[in-house]
Amino acid sequence: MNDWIAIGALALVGLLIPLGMMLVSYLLRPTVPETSKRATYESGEIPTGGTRVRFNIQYYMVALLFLVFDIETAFLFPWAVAYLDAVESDAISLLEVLGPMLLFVAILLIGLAWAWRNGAVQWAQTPRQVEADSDR
Amino acid sequence: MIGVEYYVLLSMAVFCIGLVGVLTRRNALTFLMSVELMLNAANINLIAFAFYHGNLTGQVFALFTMALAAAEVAVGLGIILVLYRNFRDVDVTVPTTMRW
Amino acid sequence: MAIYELPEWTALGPALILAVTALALFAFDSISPRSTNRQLLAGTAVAGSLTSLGVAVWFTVAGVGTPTADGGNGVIDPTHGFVVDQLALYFMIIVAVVTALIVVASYDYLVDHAYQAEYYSLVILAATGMSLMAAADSLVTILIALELASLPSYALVAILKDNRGSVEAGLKYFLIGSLSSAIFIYGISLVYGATGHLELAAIAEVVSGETEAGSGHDITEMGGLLGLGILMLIGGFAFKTASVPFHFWAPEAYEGAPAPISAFLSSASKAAGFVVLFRVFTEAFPLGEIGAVIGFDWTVAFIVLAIVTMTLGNFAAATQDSVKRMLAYSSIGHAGYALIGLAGLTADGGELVMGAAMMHLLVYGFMNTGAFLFVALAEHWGVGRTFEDYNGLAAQAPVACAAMAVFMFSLAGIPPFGGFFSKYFLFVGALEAATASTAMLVVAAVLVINSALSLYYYSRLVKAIWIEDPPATRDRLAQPTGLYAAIIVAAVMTIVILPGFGPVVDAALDAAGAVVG
Repeated sequence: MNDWIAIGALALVGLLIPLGMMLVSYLLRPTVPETSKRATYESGEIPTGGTRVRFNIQYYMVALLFLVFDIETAFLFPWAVAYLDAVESDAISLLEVLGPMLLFVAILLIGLAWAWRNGAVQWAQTPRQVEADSDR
Repeated sequence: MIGVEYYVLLSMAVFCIGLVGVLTRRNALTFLMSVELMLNAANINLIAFAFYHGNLTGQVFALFTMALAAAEVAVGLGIILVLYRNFRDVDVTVPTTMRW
Repeated sequence: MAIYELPEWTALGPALILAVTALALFAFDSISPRSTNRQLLAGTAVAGSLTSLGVAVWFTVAGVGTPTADGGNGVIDPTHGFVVDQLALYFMIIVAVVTALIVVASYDYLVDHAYQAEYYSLVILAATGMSLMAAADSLVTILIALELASLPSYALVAILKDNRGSVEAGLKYFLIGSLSSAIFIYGISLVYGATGHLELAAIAEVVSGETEAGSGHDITEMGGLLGLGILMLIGGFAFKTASVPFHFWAPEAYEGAPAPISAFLSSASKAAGFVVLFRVFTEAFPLGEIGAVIGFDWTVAFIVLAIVTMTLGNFAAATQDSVKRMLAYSSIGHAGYALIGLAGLTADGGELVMGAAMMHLLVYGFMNTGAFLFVALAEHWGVGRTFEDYNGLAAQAPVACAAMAVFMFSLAGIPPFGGFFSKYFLFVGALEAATASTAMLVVAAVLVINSALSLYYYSRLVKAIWIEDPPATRDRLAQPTGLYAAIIVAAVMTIVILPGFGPVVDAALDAAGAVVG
């Protein structure tokens, strides 16, 4: 149980130090209220508009493509861990080790090619392209 | 060592939080997050039990669950996007062109 | 036999052919995304689903999955987590048939649609998932196949991006679907926790006490956990088969979705949900032993679900004004009929009632697909969606309307059509099971009452089409080839299945015996 007392004490100290610092600075600092102090800091520029702007839909496309390849690694890692052992063992041929993963990546590549050809990675569109798209 | 029953309690708590979120929130995105929470509760279970039983089946299955969750989010966000285009809102109670 | 020369993984051929077709369609769309070559796209999809159908039939005839004692090649275990037996092939045939029908019908429905290649490849991908569901025998592969079937379906329901009804239907389908799949996965994690395995056979061994769970504990200590897990699994399957308590997406999704997709979801998707349901509960949780572990028999749950689902579906269908919505609720009612297949099981029998449920799903695959395709035809004509809008269509399109009358009477279970026989076998099977539990008598009674009620609303539609006078202002109706062909094939099959019912009965009973016996 002693371990837990130490952890509790640590948590308490960790909480008290920032609170204490904030309290001390609150007591010491002069108070000069001014509107520009409360404004959002935008690298020294004068702030324009609120934070709740709508993001371009392209961010969503890129995020989705990222997601696909992000999750792909979740399957690649266990495969990579087992790869060397599998190659060295005589029970499994190289084709049986490489084949499934190559097939998996190939299927993903078809997906990527499809997304590419259908304009998922096309960042900005000229007015003419927009027009051509609306015909579809 | 912490007994497996504590992990089950934790996962059930997470699952119930997700379920309450699903039942009470009307925002489609919050709904999606709540479902993610429920999926992750299952992941906690799977990994805790994989450790408990001493086989890897549960851990591998957790990987599949994660991939599945990602795929579900991708499709879900797409649907929510067209929902917003059509109804100018992501509230799941707004679309009522048909009787419920 | 020639089949021996094929490597074992080819036993999954019907599903693999669908997968290759879907990828080919995606590849084609990647090469020329703006292509308007609709013939090629639809042709590829039709060819793929017909090849899959042909291979599945060939395998069945060649004796793949037939027990060696009966002169077959025995159950094939193509790869880890899959099994190809008669049950799998039977449902692969249903899925391939329905897919072929709706792909043919979609050709006319999709005129001027922006996403041709995407539509076909998503349909074929979903069909791949359903086909794999038929063969999956591990909870991992079951889940992956189930989601492979579900995720494209969400997109397909919402594919009319500018149609508010379609988007709303897609949203609701997705919301209920993701919720139920989360519950399903949590159920799997609990079953895994109690038994330490995900393969159905290994779970059954632990449940029956033949082997110890992975951790070496006594399975009965974990009975509560296992019971909760099983209930959650039922929740996941209830969504896929559109039965109570996760049925309420069905009317919305079927009404809002493009009509061929409604046909696809209500026939193929439902059949695929049932095959997994049958396999999981007969193989992983054997009736004799499971009661001792979790404290109740799961047949009780299915008796309740079957009664509630049948009654709710049929009574709600009787009050509808919109034809599509009526068909949607009737589809819930038919899910209730198929659930009898599980409710009537006993520890040492029940092949007849489960076989009857499978026959019903096959016949249903034709008659319900046909009925929804007729609605697709009506949408193509633009005549409106209520019963009154359908008034007097027979005067202008007698062939299609005759087919529709066949579907309606078959769905209601009138003697000369296929639907009568499957329902009759269900009734006989339920009565046979009633010797073991009297609750099945109630189920049989509810089945009869609901069939009588369903006759009312099905014949109401036939009356509107054939007897009522058409409104004076209707234009001439077009005759789209693809839709007509699909509807007529479905109607012919609904009738032809009658003289050919012997093989179907045998196949269904064999398939049931593969998992029950």
